[in-house]
Amino acid sequence: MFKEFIKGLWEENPVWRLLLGMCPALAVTTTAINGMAMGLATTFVLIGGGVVNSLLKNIIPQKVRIPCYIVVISTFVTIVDMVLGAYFPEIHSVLGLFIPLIVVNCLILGRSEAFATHNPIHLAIIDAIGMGVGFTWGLTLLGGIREFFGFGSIFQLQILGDWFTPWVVMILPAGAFLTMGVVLGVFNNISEG
Amino acid sequence: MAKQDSKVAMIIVLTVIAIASATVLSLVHSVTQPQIEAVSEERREEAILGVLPGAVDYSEIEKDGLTLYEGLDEDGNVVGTAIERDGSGYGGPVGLMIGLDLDNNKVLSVRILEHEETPGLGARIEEGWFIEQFKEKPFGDEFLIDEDLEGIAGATLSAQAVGAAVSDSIDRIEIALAGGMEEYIAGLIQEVLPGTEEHETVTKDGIELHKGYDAAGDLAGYVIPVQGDGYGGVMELKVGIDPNLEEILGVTVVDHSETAGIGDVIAEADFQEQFIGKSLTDQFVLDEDIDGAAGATVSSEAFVEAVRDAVEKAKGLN
Repeated sequence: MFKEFIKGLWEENPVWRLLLGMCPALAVTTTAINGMAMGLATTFVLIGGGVVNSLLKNIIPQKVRIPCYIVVISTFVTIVDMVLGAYFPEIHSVLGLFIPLIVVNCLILGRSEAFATHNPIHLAIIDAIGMGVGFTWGLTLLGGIREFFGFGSIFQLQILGDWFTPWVVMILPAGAFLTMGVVLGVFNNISEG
Repeated sequence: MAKQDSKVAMIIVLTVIAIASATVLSLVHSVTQPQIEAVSEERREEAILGVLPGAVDYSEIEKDGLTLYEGLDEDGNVVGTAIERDGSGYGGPVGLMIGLDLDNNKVLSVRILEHEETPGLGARIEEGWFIEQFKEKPFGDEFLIDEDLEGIAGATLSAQAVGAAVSDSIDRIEIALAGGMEEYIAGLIQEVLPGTEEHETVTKDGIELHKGYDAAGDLAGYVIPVQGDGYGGVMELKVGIDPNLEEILGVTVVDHSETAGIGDVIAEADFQEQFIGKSLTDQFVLDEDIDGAAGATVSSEAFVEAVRDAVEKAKGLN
């Protein structure tokens, strides 16, 4: 059981090993807090979608399983969207555009299809939490690196002084690809070495 | 049979899931909706009061399809009018709240509500110095970057989006306050040709002009639109001339960019009334036939020049 949790953190980490959910991973990670918020929102949907789809696995006919999963997933995404809009308007205004896109995040549909519907509910929950935490730390790291170079801060805490000229490119889309590529290279090296 | 069962099952399962989903969502919606509305209401109120200095409250008014917010001070006096408007920026819409003083025809303040401009470049439209430039600008200003406003290096489009949105909002408000485009033009014509009830727009010898008719249907005069090259930019005038092409019946400024408090005297009635009753054979020399305003020679001269232009055009109508 512990194995199902731990695999999401490193061995099958969605960002660094499975390369799933790249769209939000690249698009919203301009700051650490944005990356973390997106990770947590995705985690909530992963858990909710995983639980319901795991429960319904014997009821849902094979042929219509994908539309069923998507309806369940989009329900949770819409809940996240509404709740963020109501209680965390600041985060919602930054992530707003990307929240609805969680529906088509292949990580979520992927885990429902590949894991939740083939395993009992407690394992589905553990898997979803593991994957969610793995996704969250991946996005937070990406956002942290980009924020550090792009603003000179981490979690909005100014680290570098006035002498530092922010690397604007790091918070532009190009910076996302640069950071992703370099970090991916380093991690590949670590796991192979 | 098994196949048929599974088809029915597919429909039932998918329908049931969709209904369950809709039920859950409408519950969540009913809980969060008031809060979401409160948040957006709070933001709007903060923005409205932010662009109207001295306002403590506001009331919403509808004018010819525009939603305007009138800011009220503690005694309930109107301190300005705000309008929310989207400009089209480089990365997407730029949401603005614009505070205007409709009594003195000048901008009070502008605030960026939301934008998707490039961080470090276009996003600098949010910086104080850029937004401050809009304060006290007269309505006639063209809000052109690098001419009327200092631009942002590497973000011309983003900066211009704000300028264009402000300029456009002013035009829309002016037209809306007059009760629509037709009414707006009719109002201007009435101003320079007193007693006009109807008008038609005609082109004569390549000159576009309006012919005004009184209640009896008789020709009340001609209105000739002209432009002058003022101190702050182009000024647009309408000059009303009597049916016999003998004298000026009225002059008004449609649009100008002269300095508030100095050159903008040309928009004042005292200055414009000097032209009423002047014969078309007059010379229209500044400081001889017409009194200029102190410190606003360029603006006054541009105005007189434009009137001379209209007079020349009118003479050509004979």
